[in-house]
Order: sequence, then C-alpha cells, then structure tokens
Amino acid sequence: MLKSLIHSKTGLLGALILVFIVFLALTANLISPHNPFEQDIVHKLLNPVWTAGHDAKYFLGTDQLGRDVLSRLIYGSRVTLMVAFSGTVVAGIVGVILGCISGYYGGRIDAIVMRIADIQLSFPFILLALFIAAVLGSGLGNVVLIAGLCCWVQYARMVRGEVLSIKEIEYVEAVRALGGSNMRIIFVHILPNIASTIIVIATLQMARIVLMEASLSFLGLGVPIEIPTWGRMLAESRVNIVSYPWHAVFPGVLITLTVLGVNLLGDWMRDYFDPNLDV
Amino acid sequence: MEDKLVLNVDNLNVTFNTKRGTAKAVTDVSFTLHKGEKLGLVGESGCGKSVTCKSIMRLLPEPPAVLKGKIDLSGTSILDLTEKEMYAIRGNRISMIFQEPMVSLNPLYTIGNQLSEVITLHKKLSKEEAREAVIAMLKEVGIPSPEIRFKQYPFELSGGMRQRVMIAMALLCQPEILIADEPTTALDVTIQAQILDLLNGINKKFGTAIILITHDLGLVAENTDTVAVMYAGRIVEKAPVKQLFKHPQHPYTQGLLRSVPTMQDTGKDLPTIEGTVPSLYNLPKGCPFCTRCTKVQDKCHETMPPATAVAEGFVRCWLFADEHGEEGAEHVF
Amino acid sequence: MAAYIWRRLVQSIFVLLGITIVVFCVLHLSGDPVQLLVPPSASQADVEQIRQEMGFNDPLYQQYFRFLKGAVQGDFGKSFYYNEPALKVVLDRVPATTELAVVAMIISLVIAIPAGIISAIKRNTVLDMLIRFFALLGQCVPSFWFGIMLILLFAVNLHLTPTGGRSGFASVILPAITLGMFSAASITRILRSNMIEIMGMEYITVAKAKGLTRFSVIMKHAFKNALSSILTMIGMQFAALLGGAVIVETVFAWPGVGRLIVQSITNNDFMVVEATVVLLAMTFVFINFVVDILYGVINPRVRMR
Repeated sequence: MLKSLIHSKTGLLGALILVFIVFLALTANLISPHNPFEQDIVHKLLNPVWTAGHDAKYFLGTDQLGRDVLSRLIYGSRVTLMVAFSGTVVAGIVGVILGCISGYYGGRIDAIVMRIADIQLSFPFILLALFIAAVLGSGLGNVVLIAGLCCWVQYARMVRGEVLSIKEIEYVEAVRALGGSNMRIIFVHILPNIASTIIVIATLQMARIVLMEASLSFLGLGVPIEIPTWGRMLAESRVNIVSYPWHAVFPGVLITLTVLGVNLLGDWMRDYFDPNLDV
Repeated sequence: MEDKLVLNVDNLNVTFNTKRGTAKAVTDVSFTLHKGEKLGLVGESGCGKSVTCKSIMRLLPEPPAVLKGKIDLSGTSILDLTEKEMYAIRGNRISMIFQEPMVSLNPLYTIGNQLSEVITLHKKLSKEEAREAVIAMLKEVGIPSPEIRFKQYPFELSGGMRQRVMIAMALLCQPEILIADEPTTALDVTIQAQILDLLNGINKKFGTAIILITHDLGLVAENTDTVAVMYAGRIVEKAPVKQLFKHPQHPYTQGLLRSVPTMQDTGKDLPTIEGTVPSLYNLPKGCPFCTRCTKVQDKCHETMPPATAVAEGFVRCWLFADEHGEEGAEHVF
Repeated sequence: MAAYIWRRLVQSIFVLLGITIVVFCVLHLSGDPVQLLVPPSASQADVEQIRQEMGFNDPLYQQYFRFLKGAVQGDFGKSFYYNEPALKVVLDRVPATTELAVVAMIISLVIAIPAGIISAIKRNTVLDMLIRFFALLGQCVPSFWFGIMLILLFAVNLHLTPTGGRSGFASVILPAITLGMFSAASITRILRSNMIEIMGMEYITVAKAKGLTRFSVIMKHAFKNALSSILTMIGMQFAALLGGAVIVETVFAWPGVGRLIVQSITNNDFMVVEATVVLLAMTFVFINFVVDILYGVINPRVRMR
C-alpha cells in the first residue's frame, strides 16, 4: 500500500501535507518561538519580517493583543486536528450504529432514520450547526458534537446497505432484543467489508469538518476565544485588515493547505481501495 | 451474388499507442465484399473483428489508434477522408448495429426523434417526410403499431424490439453495407432467430451487404455466404460457408469447429484448444497461432505464412504454402 | 405526471413537519428555553412570569402545537433587538439574500458547465489538468478567507468595488463570486465525471455511427444526459448556497438573512433565530420540490413510474 502511495503524486503530496500539520500539532510547544497566549501590548500589530513595521523577534508579526502570530498558527493546528479527528470518530460511531440498527431492524425504525438522514442532507449543515451552537453555547465539546452530527449520514447509509445485503443472504428471523448469534454474525460479516470504505469516507469527511470548525470559529461560535484557532485568527484580523493585510493571509493558507492535504489523501485512498466507490 | 465490389480492404493495419506499449490489434487484414454478400467475421474476443469493422467506419479515436492500408468503399478511399467527409459516410453509406440494444438508444429522446435524426441528417427531408419514412421502416423491420412506437421512449420497448429499432435506424438511408457487431448475443434465443431472419430478409430485399461479427459458429453456418476466421488480429482463413464447415483448412478453424458440441458428443469431454491467445502488445514474429498449433513447424515461429488459395477461399498457413506462396490470394476470394 | 407531483408534495409536507419538530426539540434541548428567550437583564421574577405567560409550564405537545399554529399563521413572536415582529425582520432581508444567491448561482453555472464539459472532452490534456486543479482548490479554500482576499485585492488595493454592504452591481459581484466558488468547483468535478461516463456509453458510439458531427454528438446527446444527471445536484447546491450565505454575508456585511441569523445569535434574539430557521427550512423543501419536478420533466422514466 505504501508503494502505491509513493507512486501517486497527488496522494503523496496530500500525505506529506498532513504529516506536516500533524508535526506542527504534536511539537507545538517545542517549536513555537513564543507562548501563543502571552500578550505583548507594546509590540502589538507587527508585520511579518519581510515587510515594513516588523520586529525580528516576531517572525510573522503579532496580532492586536501583541501575541506572536507564528506561535498561534502552530498551536492552531492542534484545535483543527483535534476537532477533525474526534468529530470524525463521533460521526463514524453514530453513523455505523444507526446504520446497523436501521438495516437490521428495518421497518419503521429504518424509515424514520432514513427520513432524518434525507432531511439532514437537504439542509445545509452550517445552519443546523449555528442553531445548535446558539442553544448549547460554544466550547470544544460542542464543536465536536456538531461535527459528529453533521457527518454521520454517509456512514449510516453505507452500513445499512451492507446489513441489508447480508440479511438477504441468510434468513434472519425478526429479533426483538439485541444480542443473540444473529447480531454477532452480522458484525463478523460486515466489519471486514466496510473497514476500507469507512476509512475513505472518514478521510473525505474530515475535510468538511475542518472547514466547518474554521467557519464556526470565524463566526465566533467555536472554541473559547483565548484558544488559538485559525478561523478565529482570521476573524480577528478583519478589524485591522486595511493597514495590516498580512495577518489575514496566513491562517487562510493553513486552512486551505490542511483541507487540500486531506482531500488529496482521501482521493488517493478512494482510488486505491475501490475506484468505483460512490463517495 | 452480384459481382459488383462494394468493399475492398487491402492490408489494413491498426495499432494502438498506449502507455503499456503498442498493441497490434489488426495486422495485414485484406478481404473483399460484394453487393448483397453476407460475410461472417468470426474469432475469439479480442481477435480484431470489431476493431476491423470500426476502422472501416473510422469510429476509433485516432490517436491512439493508427490506421494504415487501404479501405475502398465503392470507389471512395475511406482512409483518405477527413472527419468531416466521414460524417457523410457513417449512417448513410455504411451503418453499424451493436451488441447491447438496451443501451444503444439515448434514454432521454423518443424513438421517433432518434430515428428521424439519421434520415434528416443525410437525406435533407422535412419533418413530415422523415416521420413517414421512419414509420415505414419500423413496419419493415416488423415492429407492430409503429405510429405509437414513434412517440415512445426506449425504456418502453423490449430488448428484441430495440434491436429491431436499431436495424431500422441503420437501414433508413439505404446503406451499401450493414455491419452487425454481435447483434444477437445479448438477446434470448428465440429473439435471436427472429433478428437474424430479419437481417436475411433485408439482405434479400434491398441487396444490402452484411458483415456479421460473431463468436458463435452456429449463427455463421446459417446466416452467411462467406466466412473469415480471425485470430490475434489476422485473417487466417476465408472461404464460402459450406466449404469452411465441410473442409476447414487452418488448424485454428479446425480446432474451433471441433470444440462446438454436437449431438453425437454426449458423454465425452469437450475438446479445447490448449493455451491462450498471445498479447497484442507482444505478438510472435511469425504466425500468431504458433504457440498453440498442434501441427506447428519451425518456420511458423519465424515468418507469417502468405495467403494461399484453396478451392474457393484462402488460408494463411505454412501447411499449404511454400516460401513463394501466392500473395494476393485474399484479393481474389 | 400529476401523480408524481402529488407524491412529491406530500413528501415535502412531511419533511417540513419533521423540521419543525427538530427546531422545537433543539429549542428545548438547552434545558430552559426561557433563558434564551428573555433579555439577559431580566430578573428571576420576570423569568417566572414570562415562563407562565408564554406557556412553558404546559405539557410539551401543547407547546409544540402552539408553536406550529403560530408558525402557520406567521407569528413567531417579537424580536427583542429590532422591536418588530420576528417574521417581518426576516422577510425584510430576504430580497438581499435572494439577489446574492441568484447571482452566485448564475456565476457558478456559467463557470462550471463549460468547465466540466471541456474538461471531460479534452480529457488528460493540460487544460483538463488546470481545470481539475482549480476545481479541487475551490473546494479547499474556506469561503470567508477567499472573500477577505478578494476584498483586499479588488476593494482595498484596486478600489474597483466597495468593501461591503449592498449598493448596486459592483457591490454584489465579489460576494457572489465568493459564494459561488465552492458550488462551481463541486459542479465542475461532478459534471466532468458524469460527462466522461456518458461519453463512454454505447448510445454515444451509435450517435457517432449515424454520422452526427462531433458537436452534435456532444451537445445533443451527451449534454442533455449530463445536465439531467447533475440537476439534482444543482438544486442541492442552491440550497447549500443559502447556507454559505451565512458566512459570505458576514464577511461582506451584506444585509441578508444569513447575516441576520449570526447577529441574532450573538444578540440572543432567539425569536428571530427561530423564524429564520423555519423560513429557511421551508425554502429548502421548496427548492428540493422544484428540483424533483424538473427532474421528472427531463427524465421520462421517473415520471411515468
């Protein structure tokens, strides 16, 4: 598998980008030149070293509270990745479970779950996310929850399809309670088949989640405002954008880069596991 | 069978340049077709039958396909025409029907629309005139209630009916040649017989020459006048149908005929031809059948045998030719 | 056809009901909806009084039906911030968002349809690679950043457009491009892959075999099939545009429904939030309904079933 990845120019690029971002997140406290929370009001609103109005101490400049931009960018990767991974896990778990239940029990439960799925698909998620954020408030946990809620549908549909096809093979009596050998058979049969598809779905969903977290942070509804996150940095940069345009450039570049990496890797994965996948 | 020559294919070579290399799909293929003649083109999958016929209509994308040789259609040199000039030939002087009638029609347009399209394109008829011509042809191919069918969509017709529609579409401009590429493979056996009867009837009534491509020897025996057997891009034997079945010359033809089960063979193992077809990217220097032939000689591996006349046909095999075999036998028969 | 329309209509109504249930449930998810509905300065006694007045002590199903009844009559309560009926606040801003969404959709299609088709026809050429690259990039760039960059370039540096607000054609062009970018990218990619699949279909070979010019084959036979295959997607994209408008309107200070919802959330003006969500839901259901009908018009098999 690794060989195929190396041969694919785009897949390799995506993987390298992601490795870079993960590296930033993991070594943030080691490689950041400054403390991202530390405010240095005297040196606020500095530009990057290659423009006028800079200070060599702060390589990419400082924001309106005098915090080092470079360090905040590096630490921002942590939030992005954390939300991306946990959101994906939540979405995956919810989706797989709902898909199993829906496919296994069929009937009214299936109809209801699939109806909800259809409704949710036709509704741009940002609105539901806003509504939930408004009600529940901001915070990392809520963002992860929202991310999970936004993306469970694809998993559910796929798993449900697999369960239905297994049901066709063996005659399964309608079982009222969970447990019993039928449930186990289904898991034994299904899991190997869907593992690769789940990975592909997860990778492509991650791109959505990264963008969604950035959007929520931009609107002020994401994680608490002291925690550095790229979306938030972009929002804060708008105030002084006419005089200090550079502060708006870097966070956006990083978001784009991360999403690009995830998409490239996801596309490669889909082609590797099954080019005919309807994802 | 009249003598007028409708098609003369002379040393057709078709190669495909791909990332994997150059595939020689068709090598030195030559044959003739007379007015009203029914030629059967047989061989295994990948032997070049479809590629040959698509080349006659220049339907292959021309890179990566490279066509060399001569194809003469009643005086017109096909390989010298521009794409624009080919538009006037396709559907008009030569038509083709394909294997899968279920997907041969655009699902979003009515039957009438798709049929009228070809005749208004080539014959410049008015909408009313086209409609009349289409309905008449639908009747001709045996479709009941053609006025109703005219307004219907493809999904409303069965497979057999769709194939009849395809035949009608192919015949609307009264082409000199109709190429039928495995026209009955995807249909039920009973429908098969009907479609082939229809083709035979058309051939008798309008004098349209027919090239019938198939891998089914049984079809060929009943529905053709002449048969050409292809292997790995070459014609290895061509003969009138009775001669081919009674006295097959080429070892490959003999192998094919042997492997068709007959009523007398019950209880015995079916004979097969050992080995597999060589890759078109890597053909042997000499006769392509040399790797599987039971009567192979040394020189078979080295040089391709020329075409030698045998009775009313020709065969390309060293068993029949000497070093100075009669080249050009393909052009006589 | 009539039966098809009727079926879709009934389905749409069910979906709408479902959405009102979701909105209602989310409202009660937070535990105490009254806290959200009153100005932050209210005292405990005020809160209790409002709770009683607004019927929050009643059983849930009663509350739901009251909510439903109010929604049907257009009564969503009063906006705290604007001191007007919530519905009016929302409806006042609908024209702005509609203008933005329509222009964005037009720009998006004008770019995406030719790009997708050309990319498929000229497959694997440099032009194809370029189109695919930009289409991918278009799906990776966050719209708010793209908008900000556009403002920097065209408004701040080149002085070609205003930096925000709604004032005429020059003011809608940047937000529309920003909003339409993601859709354009998505439509291009899907159209390209559908077109490639269609070009491989046997009826295309048959069309060529009939002697049709390459142009006719593509425009008459392939294009209609490609369009019908992406029609549902276009409808979904239009719905997604309304979602994207939330961000774009915020970036460009465009006085539309999207900006309203963000501001109202920040202002805790919950009645307005509720009204907006329900209205938007109705819009989506309507858009989906229209798309379904259009699809039936184009694809005969669907409507005759």
